[in-house]
Parts: sequence; C-alpha cells; structure tokens
Amino acid sequence: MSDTLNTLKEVLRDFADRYSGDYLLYQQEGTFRCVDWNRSSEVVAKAESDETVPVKKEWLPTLAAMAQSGKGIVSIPLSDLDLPQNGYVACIATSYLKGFVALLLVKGSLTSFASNARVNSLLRFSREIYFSFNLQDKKLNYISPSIEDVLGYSHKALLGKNLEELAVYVHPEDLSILEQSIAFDHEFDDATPVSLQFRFMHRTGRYLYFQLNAQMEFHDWEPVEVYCSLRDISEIKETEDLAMQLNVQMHALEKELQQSQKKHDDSKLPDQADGAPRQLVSNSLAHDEEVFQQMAENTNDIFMLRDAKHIIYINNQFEKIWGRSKEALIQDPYQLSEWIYPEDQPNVEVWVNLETLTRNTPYVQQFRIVKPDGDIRWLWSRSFPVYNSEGMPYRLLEITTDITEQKDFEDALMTAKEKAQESDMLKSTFLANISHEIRTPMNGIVGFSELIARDDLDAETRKNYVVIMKKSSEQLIRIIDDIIDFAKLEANQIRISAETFDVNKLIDQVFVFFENRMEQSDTNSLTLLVSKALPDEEAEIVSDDHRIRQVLSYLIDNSVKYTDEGFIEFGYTVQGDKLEFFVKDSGIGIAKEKREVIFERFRQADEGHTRKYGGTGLGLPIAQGLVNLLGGAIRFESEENKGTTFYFTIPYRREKEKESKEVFSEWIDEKYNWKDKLILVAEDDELNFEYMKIILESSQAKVIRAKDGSQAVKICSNLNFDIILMDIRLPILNGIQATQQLRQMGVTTPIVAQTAFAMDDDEYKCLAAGCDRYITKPISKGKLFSTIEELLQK
Amino acid sequence: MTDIRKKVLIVEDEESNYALLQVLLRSWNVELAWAQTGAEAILRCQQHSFDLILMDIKMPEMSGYEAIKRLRALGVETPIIAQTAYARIEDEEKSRELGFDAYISKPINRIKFNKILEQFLT
Repeated sequence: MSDTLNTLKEVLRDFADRYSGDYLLYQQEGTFRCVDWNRSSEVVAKAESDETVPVKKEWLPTLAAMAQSGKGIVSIPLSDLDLPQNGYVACIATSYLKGFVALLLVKGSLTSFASNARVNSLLRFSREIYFSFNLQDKKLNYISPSIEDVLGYSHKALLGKNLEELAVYVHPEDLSILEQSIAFDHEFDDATPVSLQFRFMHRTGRYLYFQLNAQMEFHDWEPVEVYCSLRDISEIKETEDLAMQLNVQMHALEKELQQSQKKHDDSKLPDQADGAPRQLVSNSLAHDEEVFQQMAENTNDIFMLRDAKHIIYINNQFEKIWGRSKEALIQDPYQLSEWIYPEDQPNVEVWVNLETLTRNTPYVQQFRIVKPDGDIRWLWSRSFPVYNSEGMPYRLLEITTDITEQKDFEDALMTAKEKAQESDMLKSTFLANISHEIRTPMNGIVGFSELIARDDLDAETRKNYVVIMKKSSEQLIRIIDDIIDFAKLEANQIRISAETFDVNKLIDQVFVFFENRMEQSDTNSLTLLVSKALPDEEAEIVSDDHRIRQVLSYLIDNSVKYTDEGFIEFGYTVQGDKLEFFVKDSGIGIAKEKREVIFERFRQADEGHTRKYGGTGLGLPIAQGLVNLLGGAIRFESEENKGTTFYFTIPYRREKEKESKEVFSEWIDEKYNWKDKLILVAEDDELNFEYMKIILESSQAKVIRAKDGSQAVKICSNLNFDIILMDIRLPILNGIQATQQLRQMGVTTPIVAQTAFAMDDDEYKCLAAGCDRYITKPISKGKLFSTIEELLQK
Repeated sequence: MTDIRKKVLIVEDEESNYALLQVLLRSWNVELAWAQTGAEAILRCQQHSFDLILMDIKMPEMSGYEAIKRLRALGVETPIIAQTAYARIEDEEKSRELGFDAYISKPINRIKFNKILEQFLT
C-alpha cells in the first residue's frame, strides 16, 4: 500500500512538472480520483491527505478507455467530479505512467484549439477535411481550410450552412445512408464513432467518394456537437467497383463454362469434339484475368481474391506493403495473423469468415502490422463477398490500403493540439505571474506617491516614503528590464558585439558589485569568492562583456536567492578553445524533478502561489538565450541541500580587432554651462517635459517645447537651435518622421532621440532617419548631459 | 483603561506593502499585528483573537489560499480580506470561492480600501 502511494506520488510529481491544468485525474484502485490542481506542489500533499474526490461511475468506462490508449478528449461536467463550480472541463488523455493514469482537465471548450495558428496550418495542408456541427442549430460551425483543395469550395462559403443546405451537395442515392446513420437522433453513444461512405459534389459538378468518421461531443449526456473527418476515397472506390465488375464477369464466364461442360457431358460427344467450346471459354477467361491482373498491379492497394480456404489471386502490392513473400502466404495464409502488431492481434480477423459478410456493405478493419525489418504500418482493409449462381457467398475480395501516413498525420495533429493547449496554459500562468510581479512594487509606488502629496507630513516621514518608493521603483525597473530582454530574445532582436576587454577586470567588477549589495542586505553568513584562470597581463579577450556580465549577474542573483549560508564562488577556467564561466553555491540545490524545467520559459522551480524566492522566472531562460547568442552553452550540476554549480562557455578568442572604441566619459560631478544655448524639447507628455526642463535649465540653457512632431518642424523653420531632443512616440508626426523632414529641410542641428521602448530596432530607425544619438528612458541626467556636451563640442 | 481599539492582523511578506497598509490604517485607529507568512498568521490567530485579517495571497511557504482554509478549519471566524497583486477577475472569484469576505487588488485603491474597511470596522 505505501509502495502504491509512493509510486503515485512520484507519478503525480512527474506529471505536475510537465503539464499544467486546472484539475488532475488519476487512476487508483479501479477508480478515478480528481484533485484540484492550482498548485502543482500541493497535488501530492492533497492526494496523500485524501483531499480528492472520486469521479462518478458513469465516466469510468470512457476514462479507462482514454487511459488505456493515452488518446482522446472528452467533456465532463464539473458536477460529475463533485466540484462546486458549474461548467465543463475538457479532459485530455496525456500520460500513462507506471500503471497510473493521469488525465489533464482544462476548463473551457475543445473547439478553441482550432483558432491556434499551428494547428490551423496543419489542417490547411491536410488531405482530410475536418468539420464540426453544432447540434443546437444544426449548423456547420467549423470546417478546415483543406476543403478548398479537396472539394474546391471556399471554407467560408460553407460555414454556417445547415444540414438541408448541405444535403444539396450529397449524391441523391447516398442521402438515405446519411440520414439513417447521422440522424442526430442521439441514439448512438459517445464511445462508438460513426463511419460511413457517401458521395459529395466537387465544385466542378463531379461526385467524389468520401469516408466519413464522426464522433459526438456530449454535455450532460446531451449531444451538443459532432466532430467529423472526411477522406477522399474516390480512387479506392473506383478500383473497388472495377474489381467487383470484373469479379461478376469472371463469375458469369465460369457459369458459362460450367454450363457448356454440363451440355457437353449430357450430349456425350466424343473427346475430340469437346475441345472447341472449352477452348473458347478459357481464352475469354484468360483475357479477362489479364485485364484484372493489369488493373490490380497498377494500384497501390493490395488485391486479394480467395475462397474459404485458398488464395486464388493476390497482387504484388502485398509484398511491398507487408514485406513478405506472396508464395509463402499462399502456402500458409493463416500466418498472416503472426504478422499483425501484437496489441492489435486480438481485434483483427485476418481470415474473414465468408458467412459473416453481408451484401453491399464491406467488412472494414483497421490494424497495424509489423514488417520483417520491424517497421510498423497501419492498414485499412475492406472485404466484399462474391456470390455464386445459387446466391451463396463463395468467394471473398479483399482490398487493403496502407494508411500509415494518414495516421501519422492524425497523431501529429493531436500532439500539436496538446502542445498548443499546454503552451496556452503556460502563457496564461506566465502572464498572471508577470502581472503579479509588476503590481507588487506598483502598490508601494502608487500608494506612497498618493500619500506623499499630503501637507501634514514631517520631513522624516516624507523621506521614509521616498526611500520605499525608490526601492519599489528599482524593483519594478529590474522586472521590466527582464521582460524586455526576454521579449527581445524571443524576437531575435539582441545583437551581440565582439569587443576586446579584460575578463579579469569584468570578474572584479561583478565581485565588487555583489559584495556591496550583500553588505547592504546583511547577508553576513554568505562569503563571495572569485577565481580567475588567466594572468592579468593575458586577460584580454574578445566577446560581449556586457552580456557576459548580465549572465553572471543572473546566475549570482539566482545563487543568492537559494543560498542562506556558506559561499558563492564564481569565475572562469580555460577549456581549450573555450572559456568556461561558473557560479557555484552551497545552497539548497535543485530538486531532481525540477531540473528539466528550469531553463524553460514561463517556468520557475517554485511555481504557484507560494513565493519564497520571487522574481518573474525569466532570469535563467534569459541567461540561456544570451549564452546561446554568445556562441556557448549553459549547464548545471546540483545536489539537493549541497549546492548548485552553473557553467557556461564562450568561445575563447584573443585576437584584437582594430576598432576604435567609443569612450563615454562619466562627467557626473562636472558643471555644465550651456548659457547661450537654445534647446528644443519635442515631448508630448507634460510630466516628462517638466522633468527635462528642470534638469536642462540647471545648465542655464534656454528650453523651448514642441508638443508634437509637426510643431517641432514648424518651430525649427523659424528658429535655430543648438540641440533638438526628440521623443519618438509623438502625435501627428512621430519623432522619426519629424527628423526626416528636418533633415530634408536642411536643418543640421544635432538631434538626440529618446524613447521608452528599449528595442534595438528603434535605435536603427532613429539613426537612419538622421538622428545623431539615441537614449532610452528613464533618462539619466549624467548620460543625457554627456551626450549633449559631446554634440555641442563637435 | 483597557484598549478598546479593534485588532487587525496584516499578513504580508513584502515590507513596503506592509508599510503602506500601516499608513492607510492609521486613520482607523486600530491595533496592528504583522505576520509575514501564512503559517505565522495561523500561529498569531491561535494566540489572539482579531477583529479583521488582511491577507496577501502569494507568500513564502504557505499561500493565503491555504492559510484561509486552515484558519477556517481551526474555527477562526474573523472576517478575512484578500489583498493581492493577483488582479484578474478569476483571482477575485477564486478568493470568494475560498471564503474570503472581501477582495482588493494591488495597487490598492485608497477609496475602495476605506469603503471595504467601513463594512468590517464600524
């Protein structure tokens, strides 16, 4: 029993790491239990403390079937799970592990996946048509775009049509089959999908034969929707018909032969005379057999004609599809069953009994076979009876098609659908987390900025408020920086530079930075250590120092978060043509089951509503993205409660490219004096302008404002400025357009662009339009002033 | 003279957010206690009885969702207000389902906040 519980715990944990959903169903001792899954970490605890509810009995067969196959989706009313809410959940079979089944439940409808782009493009290139009917209004509520290729109609033209309107396209002879089978009379249960064949008109007017598979979707035992797939089987149908015709002809010839034989026997003519008619008949037979054979050899399907005991004819296609010799089969037809995929063997009737066949309806089977080389193929066989003169079935025609590609496609579609759903779920969790992380510091900023405006505050209180606001703002900026870096990585917008720098100095700088920070936050019990492999005089390398610093910072931040006491050591070693950086800590380590997901986007080892370590969960994915861009790889070693070491490599390059390096001198304490200078500030936001005006006027410069781009152009045609500060997001004319116009007018004043969107693309656009410099908001006075000073000196 | 002020427990792991609540509650003249985790909140409630609890949701070790379940299971009937940066409609619905008596999202709107307190402190 405790063994079972342990395995269950393991499975649930494993499952919780890989998927997310609203509820989790798992199989235990012949029943299914449902557990609320808002925090994956608590699923196990809940299962243990028995905070689970059993699923109503009616669902057991369906769920068991899904669990067995690991496939399928079904809607279950929440009330059947004994859950207090109303509504339905989509139950998706996802995993079958170690004797336990975990089924994922997601609130909401199943059809939403069709709007997913990836699924849709799969559907677009499919040779099958997928569609669904709403049973309330009996209208077509979805049809895949593949209908355009297969039937020539635009899928929009058919959408929203009801059954009567669609019946026009169906071959009149087949209407009754459709009406009988899909009467939508709720008689068939959801476990049995409908499968039938009928003709549907192509846009050009000819009829194509289709295989229709349909499955009902139930809510509260009421069918609400029917999902269908249509496959063009016209070619197969044609060959089948031809084969049937030939068989009838052969049968007629044989009858003729029998009769002439009988006549001959009756007349008791001497031997010599009886040769003529027989000769004639067998000639004709031979001719027809030749036609039959020719036709049979030219199809992709297996053709087999047999009687109760022997194979009369089988085409060469058999050898291709099964990978076995025809002769061997003919000698011992029963060995067919040994070549069937073991799991399918109990369900397949390889030697269909003639008596079980009925007129007009083929006996249809789908199964897998194993070829001698181990390849597994999906086959679809149809068996037809052939009748003798007495109207008794005496022969059987079997046509078998290899449908592996189609099956693979269906599987791919299913996987894509599951993936899409999973990533949708991850994304919404991610968004909720980001929103939470932004709102948390915002609470301090918004709350205290309201309070600080009050008059009755003493200086000390006011100062305290400002300190809190400043801390919260810094926290917010860190989060926003992370999000922007993450978005840039996702959009491939990060550019890596290759510059010469001193890697030992970089390590020292990072060390000083973190040492200071740790001092401030009283983490006394933590020691920071560094290790550098290259001697200082050989420490110049070529790479992107800014990005390496960023990755190191993420990793050290991460270590600080998870290490209460002991040490954090970082540095690098030389590994041939690579430098391997490392960050090693004596922290809590990474739990085994979390190791696979820590680099995944939107994930955090500590998901859910308990926040021990905070953050957006973007640090490690960003670090990984940056390391990849730097041309290296990231990995880690970890032991629970002992610590974790992250390693990342970069190519070790030493050749110094002759490049003039831009030097930004930090002139923070120097006085700027721009007494006679005239500065235009193009800025639509009142507050931003006020801020710019205050800091610019501290240099005694004169500041003039333009509220939009066109005003900036107008003012510039009348006045000569020394510097123009151009906001990019401006009304009427944006900053880029305004800059272009100014340059066209011949205005040569240096223009500094500024925007809140720290995306590299903006930078390129600004410079291309004719701006001289580019700075991002929030604007630091030091950076702004050094930029302006530099331009004024030119 | 005994203290007739109402007792309010703030459950909040973020210091700046606690500081804000402290200031916002000043005009209500209440006695404040601070718990930084759900577990600490339970401990506090076992020792004292409070007139109102303001509970954050995302906290270390034990979330506000779990804390309210346990408090109710222990028979604590004090009104509990969720105050959280989980600001979607689903989050508000969830807090109501779990038995929170009121819900306010962060950043906290002062007017809304005072209206809610009026219901529970007067």
